[in-house]
Amino acid sequence: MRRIELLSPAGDLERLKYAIMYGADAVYIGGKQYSLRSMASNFTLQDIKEGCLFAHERNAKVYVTCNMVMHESDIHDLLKYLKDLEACGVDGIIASSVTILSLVKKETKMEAHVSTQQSISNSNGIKFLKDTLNIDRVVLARECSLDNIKEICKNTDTDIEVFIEGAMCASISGRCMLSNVLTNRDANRGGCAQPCRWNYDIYEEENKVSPGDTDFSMASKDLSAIKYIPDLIDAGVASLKIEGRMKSLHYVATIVNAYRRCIDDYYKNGKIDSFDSYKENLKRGENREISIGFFKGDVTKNEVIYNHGVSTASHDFVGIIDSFDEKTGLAIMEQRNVLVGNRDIEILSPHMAPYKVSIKDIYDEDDNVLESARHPGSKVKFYVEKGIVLHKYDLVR
Amino acid sequence: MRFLVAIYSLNTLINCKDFIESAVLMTPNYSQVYENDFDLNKAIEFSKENAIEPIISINRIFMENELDEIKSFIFKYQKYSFLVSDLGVIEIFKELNLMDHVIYDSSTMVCNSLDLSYYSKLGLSATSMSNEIPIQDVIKGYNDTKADIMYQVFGRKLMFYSKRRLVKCYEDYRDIKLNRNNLFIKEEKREEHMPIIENDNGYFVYRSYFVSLLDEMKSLSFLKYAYFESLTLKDEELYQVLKAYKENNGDLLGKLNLDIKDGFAYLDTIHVKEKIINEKN
Repeated sequence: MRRIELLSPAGDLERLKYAIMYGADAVYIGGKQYSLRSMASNFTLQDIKEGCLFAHERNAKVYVTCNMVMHESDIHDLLKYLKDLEACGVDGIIASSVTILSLVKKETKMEAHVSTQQSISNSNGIKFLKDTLNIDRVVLARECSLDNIKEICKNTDTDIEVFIEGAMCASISGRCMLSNVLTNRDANRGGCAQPCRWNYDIYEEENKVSPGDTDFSMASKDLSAIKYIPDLIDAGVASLKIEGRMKSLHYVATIVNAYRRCIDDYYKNGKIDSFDSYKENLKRGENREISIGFFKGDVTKNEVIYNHGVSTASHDFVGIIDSFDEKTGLAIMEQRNVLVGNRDIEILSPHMAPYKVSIKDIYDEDDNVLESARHPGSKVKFYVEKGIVLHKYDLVR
Repeated sequence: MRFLVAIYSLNTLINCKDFIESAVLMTPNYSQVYENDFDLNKAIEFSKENAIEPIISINRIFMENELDEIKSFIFKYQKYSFLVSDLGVIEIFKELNLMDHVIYDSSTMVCNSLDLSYYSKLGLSATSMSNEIPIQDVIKGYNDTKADIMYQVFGRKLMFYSKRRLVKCYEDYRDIKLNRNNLFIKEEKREEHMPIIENDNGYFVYRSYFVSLLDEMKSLSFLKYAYFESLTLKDEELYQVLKAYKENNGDLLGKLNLDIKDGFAYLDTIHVKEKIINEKN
């Protein structure tokens, strides 16, 4: 049986590398053209080429999103761009435009993946796209329940990709014009201002009938479907997708690490006794309000955000291990956030559960003791207890 | 060009029949928005008696477990045309060799001549171009493809379609019951009242104003179907709107005192990143 693919977002080359090192089987990225998520730091062709080399050396794949709903003015050198991506080594293109999907299949050897923007929620839609465009994979609409996903998998041979983690559109994907109308920023061209997350009142004619103070909400809690991983594997889903090309390196590594271990645990043991530790680790990535989305059918009030509070991850990401001397226990860390000495830190390492380490003094590059390290980008040194082995690219939080 | 009017009640069809050439009949269960007591068979009969082309709307998104039911429904009414939004439903028409009975309306997804060309080559009755593109793009779409196009020329425009029943969720959250008629939402920093509709098929938000392209009708004469959305209009208002369009009479439309704008007819939306870059330059 083919193993399920864990598919991670990556907003830049660094995040691509961490996603793969931390266990992603494939990453999806945006290029400089035709991609949604215009705020993400999208890849140049050179970055894409380097990313593909890095991925392929580790048996991972790279998919490029070309999922913008193109207006006439967006169409420039489309075929050339697709050919350039193919030359970079890209494995597949994710698109909603039938023109792009068609060109990918007719003019290149890359796979064509149908974006969730097409809102495909039944096997007939997949058959239509397979028969007319010869597509390779469909990313299902996030409105599909687990039962529907299982039935769809039974009724198609085409690869099915399912979202398992991350932000959810409240609208059916691709069918939302709120941002366009209210802000002139085009959601289907990467400019979504997320007005579904603003505050509203309900009126009947001219009378306000919602009792709260602008507390009518359309905002969806984030999806977190880790407890359904066994079901999705058993159903025959081909790929499990994590949302978030704009998310941080720490988020990507944390979420990928948790899902990687969960998937491997299920393949190894045929069951998962408890999801608690995985859920706890997922919270360390971002800790926004989560729900199961449509997995159990229609959503309830439990899947909607009514209090738009600020949420933070349970652990602060402080740096990346740059080198480690096993003999002395000296770690050199590239600092990303403030680190204070004499405390417990947590190490996130590829393919391992996070673990705690106690550190005492911290030092700058000239071995001066620091009360706190406050200069992201600089190097910080500390010692760990004997017997603990850190690795380059371990994350510290 | 045929005037294609969204019909939610038989009375509207009766009251406005003088100017309706094709009627989108909004079916309970299968349309995005509908009235529960709408009698589809009566509406079809009335349409036929009055030389109106009945087009049955099945324009919502369907789940796997609903395919058999919608297939039976299509089979039952197969001699008529349908308004369809779900590619899975189009597959049913393909299997039945009835592609020319389909108007494909994905509402937002067909925004350029290349995609329009693809759909038009499937042998569909018509393809709807997005409401959110400049009118010059619609014209280019036709000029490049000669496709049969449906395009909304009047009425409230849908801007949000969710499968989530957000009013019900809010009622449960607040432990209240709201009267579901004539509801609007208002964003805390804006004055617009945007009509909302919620039913078993989901939650829908429309623009606060009516879009009218009366002045552009000459340049849109190539349309196969000029679509009129009748939501929130009284029958007498819809009658006057259709009359105004038929007679190209802006004064008649003006007398209705509706909040009318031209939407995205002359305004393209922006990509944020590109706008920021341009401003910096």
